Amino acid sequence: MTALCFQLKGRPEQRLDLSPLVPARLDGLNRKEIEGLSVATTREAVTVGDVFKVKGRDVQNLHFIGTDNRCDKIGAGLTGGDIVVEGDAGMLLGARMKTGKIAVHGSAGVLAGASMTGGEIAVRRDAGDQAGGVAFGETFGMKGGFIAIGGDAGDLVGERLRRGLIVVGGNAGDYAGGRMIAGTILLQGGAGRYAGYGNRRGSLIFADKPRHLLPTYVDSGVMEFDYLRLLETWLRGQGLRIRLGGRARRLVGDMAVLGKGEMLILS
Amino acid sequence: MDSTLQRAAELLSQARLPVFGGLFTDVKGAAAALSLARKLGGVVDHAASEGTSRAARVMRETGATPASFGEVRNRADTIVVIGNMPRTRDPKLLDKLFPARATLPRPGDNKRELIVVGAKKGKVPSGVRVTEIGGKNALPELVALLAAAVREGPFDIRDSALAKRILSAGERLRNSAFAVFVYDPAELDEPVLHTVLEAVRHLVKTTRAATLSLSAPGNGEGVNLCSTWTCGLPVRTSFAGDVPENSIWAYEAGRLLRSNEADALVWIDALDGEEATPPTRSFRGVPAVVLSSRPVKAGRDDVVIEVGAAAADHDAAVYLPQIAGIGMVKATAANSKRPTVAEVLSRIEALIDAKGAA
Repeated sequence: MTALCFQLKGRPEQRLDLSPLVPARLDGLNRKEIEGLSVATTREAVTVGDVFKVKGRDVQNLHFIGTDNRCDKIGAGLTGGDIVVEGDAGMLLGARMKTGKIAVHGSAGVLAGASMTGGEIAVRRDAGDQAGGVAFGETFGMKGGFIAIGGDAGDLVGERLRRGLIVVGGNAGDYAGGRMIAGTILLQGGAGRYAGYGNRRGSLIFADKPRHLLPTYVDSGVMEFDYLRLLETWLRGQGLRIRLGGRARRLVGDMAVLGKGEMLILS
Repeated sequence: MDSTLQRAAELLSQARLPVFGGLFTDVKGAAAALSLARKLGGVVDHAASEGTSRAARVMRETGATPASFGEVRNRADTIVVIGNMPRTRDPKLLDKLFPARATLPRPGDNKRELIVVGAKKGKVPSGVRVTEIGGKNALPELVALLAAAVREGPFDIRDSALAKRILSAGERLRNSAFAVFVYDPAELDEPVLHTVLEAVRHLVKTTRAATLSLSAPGNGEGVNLCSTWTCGLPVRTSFAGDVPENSIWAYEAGRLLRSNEADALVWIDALDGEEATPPTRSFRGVPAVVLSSRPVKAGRDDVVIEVGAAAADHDAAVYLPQIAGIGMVKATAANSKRPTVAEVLSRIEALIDAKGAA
């Protein structure tokens, strides 16, 4: 069966709520019923058929083509299946998702993977603020799974991260790993100011020495970490070739809060 | 007047997503705006919601331990003022917090002390001991350093004089009978607010501690409370869907206007002595209905309605920081003929209803 494709007809006049377009909700619907689903975020009615050309049948394989930054909540609450976005995604991409895979060829908006509990999100270009952050009404950020951002990440990447792994290929904004509780963030291109602010037990891994270091992190020397080798192997399995080696300078903090988190600066 | 209201009703009933911004108004005005926004599937946002939204998010996530102004003035023995905004917003703040004459009995027998973080100590009431925690470090770092000192954690700075002051401030806070952190949520980033609360949470294991968060200008707290008791959510809420939806990012009025997602603006600026900063210069770009107690520059197609200023032209229920609640303020010019925001919005709503019925 060919993937179920949603091709955007043109820039929508309003933001679109695409949270109904996940396998669990589409399963058992015929083409007409799918085209009749509402994706409006204003009082002006907009259905799938109004803004998308729909093709294909396989609801477990969804393709969004030509989408832009107004296409919100793609794959939100996903409970299985594959989603490919050939374009950009708006806010809350894969927010609260449990399992499944989302691949975005362009950029994602704010709160990508917010409060997700499992599954994978890969964004080829940039992600907005609070990737893996706290979704509305939640008390934790990402609670499991994997987010790979090829380009830059905005502020507060991994905000209040509970579990899981985030890899940023480019630069991260301010407060990277802000208030993270646990979990791991790998920053290949450095970060803005206040990285690891309020970090409790999480690990921030820097490929290079960051330009700004919080004074509430304390140096505890260069050490060998078998964990880094395991991570490198695991990432290779995901198709990401990132050289981590086994040695890193370890800083412990944030002493302003619990102080059991760490920054590993690869050497 | 009637034709102006008719034009406003016309403009709003055609809008796809009208945004109600400014909202510098009393509780009745806010309630009327919320009612109309619900009818039209619009968005409500307050011009000073940057700080209140952040504070609401913090409250929702972890809770907070606020103290009232009177409690801080009468009972706190150590007051930590964070940043410049508290004293910019209220230049007499320190005189109010440190009255010359003792008021009520205080817990403990420490002399009262002030700790200023990330700002110059400035003019301080005589007889009050002050510790200044400032220097090259940015405000978020200074807050983190003080929080680390509170929990006796290590930190790493070169400025040894500052380090000494931070350590002694941390010790003083641990030995306080009642320490209070004073800040404006609009000045502190969200993670910084959380670190302040972490320090409070650490202190309350052994002593008493609390926060005093400065209220937003323009009755921001009052409007926020009104929104919360109306629909369960603070401002930056959209009524377009079946259930109201709150999003600090998506439903910020300025962003909605810049991105052209909103196609009509209702701008409300009608509080005595305060002025809301418009999101776009003279409301260009989006058709607007402007309810203002002041002369405004508006576009040719905009509908401008002159209204009375709350608490000047009519009695008004607004949030009063000194009582940390909503109270009635008597009008100073009670014989004014100008209509209230609530009256104008209700009449617009009635006109829209009549159109819908016709």
